[in-house]
Amino acid sequence: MAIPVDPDSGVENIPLPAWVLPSLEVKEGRDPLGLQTTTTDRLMPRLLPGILELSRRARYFSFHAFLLAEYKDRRMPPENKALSSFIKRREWEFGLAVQRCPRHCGSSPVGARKLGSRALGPGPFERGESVENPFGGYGLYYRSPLVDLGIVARSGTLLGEKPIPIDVIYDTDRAKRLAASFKAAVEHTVYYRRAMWTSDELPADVIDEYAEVACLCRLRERPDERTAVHDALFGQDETPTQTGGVLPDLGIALEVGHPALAAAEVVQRRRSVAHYLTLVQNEPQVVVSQPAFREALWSPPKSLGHNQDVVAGQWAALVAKDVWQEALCSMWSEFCRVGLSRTRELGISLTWEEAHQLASGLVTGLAGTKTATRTRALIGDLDSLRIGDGAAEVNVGSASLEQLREVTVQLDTAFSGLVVFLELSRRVDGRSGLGWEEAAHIESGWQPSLAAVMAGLRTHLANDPTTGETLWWLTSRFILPIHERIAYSKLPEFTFRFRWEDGLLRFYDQGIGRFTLAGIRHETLALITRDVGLWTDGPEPDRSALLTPEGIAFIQAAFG
Amino acid sequence: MIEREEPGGPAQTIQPTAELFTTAAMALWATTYTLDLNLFNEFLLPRLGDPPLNVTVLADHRRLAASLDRVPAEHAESLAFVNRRWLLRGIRLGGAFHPKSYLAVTARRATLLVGSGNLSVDGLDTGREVFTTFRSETPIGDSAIAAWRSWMRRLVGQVGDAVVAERFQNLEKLLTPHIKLNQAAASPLMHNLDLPIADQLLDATGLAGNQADELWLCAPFYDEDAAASAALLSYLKPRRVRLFLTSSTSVNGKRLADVLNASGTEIAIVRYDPDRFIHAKLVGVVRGRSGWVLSGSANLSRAALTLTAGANGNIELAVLSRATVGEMHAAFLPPAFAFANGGLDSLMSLAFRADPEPELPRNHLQAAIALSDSRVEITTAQPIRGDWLLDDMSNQHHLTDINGNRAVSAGPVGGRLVRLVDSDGQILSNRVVVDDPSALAAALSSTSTQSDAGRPPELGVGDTESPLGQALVWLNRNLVMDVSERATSAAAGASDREAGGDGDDDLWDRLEREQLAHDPRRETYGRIWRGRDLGGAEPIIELLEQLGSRAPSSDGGLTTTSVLAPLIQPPLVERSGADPKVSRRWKPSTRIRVRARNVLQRWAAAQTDPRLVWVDPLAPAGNFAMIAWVLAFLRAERAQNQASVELTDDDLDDLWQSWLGSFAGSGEAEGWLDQLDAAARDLILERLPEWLGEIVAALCWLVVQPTRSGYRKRVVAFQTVLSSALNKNLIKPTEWTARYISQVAALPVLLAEVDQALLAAIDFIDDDLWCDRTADEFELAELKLEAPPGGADIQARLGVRGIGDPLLEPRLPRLIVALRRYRRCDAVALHSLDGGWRLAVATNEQIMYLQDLGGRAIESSAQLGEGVLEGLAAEGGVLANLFVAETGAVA
Repeated sequence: MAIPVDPDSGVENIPLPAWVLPSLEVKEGRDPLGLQTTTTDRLMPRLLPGILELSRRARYFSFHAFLLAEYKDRRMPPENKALSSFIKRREWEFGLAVQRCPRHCGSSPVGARKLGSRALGPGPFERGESVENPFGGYGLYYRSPLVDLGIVARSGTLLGEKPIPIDVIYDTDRAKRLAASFKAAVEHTVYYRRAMWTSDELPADVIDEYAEVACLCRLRERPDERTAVHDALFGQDETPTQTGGVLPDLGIALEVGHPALAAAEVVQRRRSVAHYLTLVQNEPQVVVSQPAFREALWSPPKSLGHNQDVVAGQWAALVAKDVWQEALCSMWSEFCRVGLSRTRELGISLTWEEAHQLASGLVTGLAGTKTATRTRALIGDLDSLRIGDGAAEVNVGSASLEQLREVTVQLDTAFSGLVVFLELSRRVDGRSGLGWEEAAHIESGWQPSLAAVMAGLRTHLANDPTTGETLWWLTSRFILPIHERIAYSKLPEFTFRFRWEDGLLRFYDQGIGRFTLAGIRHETLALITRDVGLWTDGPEPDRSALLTPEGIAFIQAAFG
Repeated sequence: MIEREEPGGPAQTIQPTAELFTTAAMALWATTYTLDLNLFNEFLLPRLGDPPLNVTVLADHRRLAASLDRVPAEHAESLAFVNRRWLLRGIRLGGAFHPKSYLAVTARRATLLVGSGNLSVDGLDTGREVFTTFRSETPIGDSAIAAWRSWMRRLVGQVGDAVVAERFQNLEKLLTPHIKLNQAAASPLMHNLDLPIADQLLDATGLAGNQADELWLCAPFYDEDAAASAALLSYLKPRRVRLFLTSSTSVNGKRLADVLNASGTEIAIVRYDPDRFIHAKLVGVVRGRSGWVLSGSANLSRAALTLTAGANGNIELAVLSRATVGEMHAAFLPPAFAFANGGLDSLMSLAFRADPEPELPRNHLQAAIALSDSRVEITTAQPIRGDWLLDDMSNQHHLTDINGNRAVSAGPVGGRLVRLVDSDGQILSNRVVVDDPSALAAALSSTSTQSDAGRPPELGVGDTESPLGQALVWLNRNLVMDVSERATSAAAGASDREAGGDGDDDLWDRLEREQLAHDPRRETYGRIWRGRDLGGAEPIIELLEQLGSRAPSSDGGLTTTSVLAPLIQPPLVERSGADPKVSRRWKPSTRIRVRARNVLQRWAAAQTDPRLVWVDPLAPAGNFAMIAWVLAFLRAERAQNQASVELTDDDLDDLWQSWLGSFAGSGEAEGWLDQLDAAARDLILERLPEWLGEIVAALCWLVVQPTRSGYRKRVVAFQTVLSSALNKNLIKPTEWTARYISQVAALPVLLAEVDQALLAAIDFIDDDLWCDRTADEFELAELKLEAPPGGADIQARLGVRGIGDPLLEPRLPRLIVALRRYRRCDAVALHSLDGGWRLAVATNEQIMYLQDLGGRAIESSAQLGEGVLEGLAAEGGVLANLFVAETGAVA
């Protein structure tokens, strides 16, 4: 090969070398083992369809339906930007009203952070938008449920041959009632009659008059609206040929979900809420305490029949899955911690065998238990085994499942995870039934189902493994390959905590720690069922939650 | 800081992953010392397109053997694609196989990167590495790629592996159309198959017998005795040596200092700040105000620089570039680093770290190939003995049919990673991944069943065979057309901890933004803008390729500045010379037509979704540009063969109006461009690809073409959008526009006639038609344009039926804006046909409102400013905003 010598020879300049600019962005990663997604994307939509973790206040359902109905009735621009702006401005004003609730109910409206302390002032109040996100709180929290509930046709839904350009409220009785009930509450106000449509400053008396009737807390005093919200959440449209009905004027059916599927979702929603109410009836702390909620789901009161058996089994399987998640998370957490430390000591990544030794050796924290201890022996000792830290120490055999979950979260060690996992396996052993089987067999795209994990454990135990071998079994099946696959799928976001590189396991330090459980609608269920009047505060002094007659009737209707 | 003789500007940068691993790739060949198998299988390979795809990686055999040796049985599934979808070979030709080169071939061009980075995360992304990029169709690019091809041909010949050779033949066929050999253009590449690189460096610089001013040295690894450095000093006799060091530079500092002192040269130590490992290997030679930069794979070692491959040297590949001293400074300085002066003591503190090559078993297993009966045929470098066994990590198999260094397993082999062992299980050879010849052949030739991946949800599996379907799939795969298609379940998936923060809307907002900002399709947008190669037409070229060998010819295609040019050609079936009846594989159908129309309408409506700019600030403009070209393409296809496109001309006109309206608006400030402030709008209009204006002109002309039936309706429906586009300078007809129109409309049209037709459409007036159409659009019972009152300043007068309270009616501002735009006037009057109200509106005047004929006239609280009504119209505002609250207007 000959290199051009003379720079003036007319030969085009040879490019200079360029430095590599990284394209990967290091991120922590929210669900490194793909367990949150089992709850979020598989279990919750099945157990409580149409209600998101953050769609918490019932009156927002009627409020947003009202906004969409007004937008449609007044033939405002069929543009997403205009609709988005309209909704965000109305949410801002609604937020001011909620914060100025004459009863000082303390409800937190959408956009509370952006509103800040404005509502405390004497007014007049400037105009604004609730949240930066397009469509505001509606887009973030209520749009998807309203679509799922068959109240709103999402933009892009086919109207005849053409997709509709913006979200439109359906023309069904159920949707119209929902919107009309909120309108009935506010239509006499100066706010509705003028201020809602104009953009000048809002006098305090206009907002206060609006707050008097529109605040989130006032739903309880408006039986018609409450019924409409109740019907939106738990009712169905009269014409069962389609979930969402028709759009106005043209009367053309929209392409929506399969009607039978939608009906099944309504039944499921009703039963899950009714089941929740039975838990509240039995243990009022359920509405305020997540541990109480989880424990109640695992150990519910006596069933009212087959239908509740099914739904109780589903929710119990959800709780068991979360305990499995926390146990595995403890193993993951210590594996990453120790792995990083070990590779720093060695100055080189780990071979497969070294990774094996590392995971197997995480049997610490309990005198007498060693890597070589047989797992069956450990299981045999579980009834008398105590784990925990100081005052939080519990007896494994007699502690509630929720206590065990909390203990391993606190200890954050692989061994505590192993103990809790083995104890969980004992406790799920007797579980059966349609709902349990259904939910326990739900898997994610990354992780096998709880049932598959337990079946795998039984096979594993048949070989009489040591605890070290069991830890490696768990690590090599549910941690190592899963995390790598997930992290690869996230590239160019670099979320690896470890990866096999050139045949060696390399650990990365980017915020090692636990990952959280996905929400299981604890607060959401509490707030929505209270808003629609299914329970209320009991008498002084403790004001424990008390089912209302409507709540009791709801249970009866759901479970017969 | 060290002194800088002249400014060199910031260092050039490159992102090899984005450069090489694209869906348009038809071949990717890599040479590397080390290889990150998981990264390649799980991340890089999926970024490449569907078969036919020739992917071949040649790696150092020792490093590869060590890497495969560490793969546990439990992890063997990570090799699933190896030697099935792509070919991996360890190269064993004397010393280390150390070159880092990457050749990517698409239907349009070939790109060669030669540098310091191995095929790993560090090598291609996060490490401090350099690469030189060569593109085909440039003299130096063609020369470099031809040189690489010659070099590779020699390597392939020496390796003697039939599978590699077959794939190289395939690569040569793919390369042939791209390489125009220019005998005058010498190769910029250096390899050491014949001569040591140091010798070539001396020859190329012409400094033999002369003295260089300076010698610059930067490498992570030196040989223990600094012999390579000594050789360079001896050859070049520099007056001064600059050593670019980090604390991790592997060199015997004392020995190097001795070598330098012995040469009598002046020594300057330059330290990198921050002090981090730098893997780039650079040698600079300064003579006067310019010099040379040697980059590539060669470290400052004897094996790399002063030996040939046949004399126990490594196999290396380098590039020699000319540069000014300023450019050399930039080339030696990684981004976000600075130079710092160092003392000799910092050199003396450096130590040589031996990095011995991994020990290998005595026998070399070259390849293992699965036979049709699942037995495996192996080839070794040494004669095979009858008592050897083939171990597949699960079982050990006897060997039969032993013939020198070839043998076949006695039975089927299930595992994919094999090696030779003896009867005691003692390891006799390295491991190799078993070839699956049929899968490898299929990867070179077959079309993928994944061609439907990425199709829009409306389209069915069989809807993507036609040009229309393929175009939609390509658009959906490469651009974000509708943000709402991406499921962002932030609110659904809140964790307990996150959900605990009441009112933390920002978190969900931020999360959604982040999710959108990391959509891998965003990189396509960067290639659309003006100033890029090919004037932003690169994605169009890829789309052309996707549409089936439609890469334009050099004389009538994208080598001109027009992207309409390649459309003015015979249709595909004629271009390929095939019988159109035979080659048309799709069946146009009403079903596809409806579905495709829905997809395109939905996408048009989604362009004003504010979240779209979170993907890329200019995403809507990029989408618009690409859609414009696709619609132009479809029109051209239809003109040649109506049945080849499922959409009708009317469909295409409708779609164009929707897209242009959603981008440019119709005067009601509802277009995406309208939503930007003036500075941002100007910036975008400036960055729009040059080719867009001619396409917009062509498509607009087709809508308002005078000779088609229904001219009145089409023009009235379109003229506000057309006018808005013209005002925003989006319409720029060229000679190519006229030529394109002439072909598509099948009548000769001159450029001047294009202008005339468009301006005539804007000026066209038909009051009755406008009233009917507008009343329908606004859902009003009746609109009636009447003669303006004589003598008054009012220029247009409109009667309205169906509005009760005009001050609180969101349709009123929109109606006034529409009227003013239609009549191109400012002062208008509206009155109720079914009530008593009257309105008079003029800019810089107060709005006059009369609630009923006998009532008192009310004036707006201020004069009507410019754009105020347009703003109200866009956001659904009402006129009451412009009147004092005491007016008492209520719903």
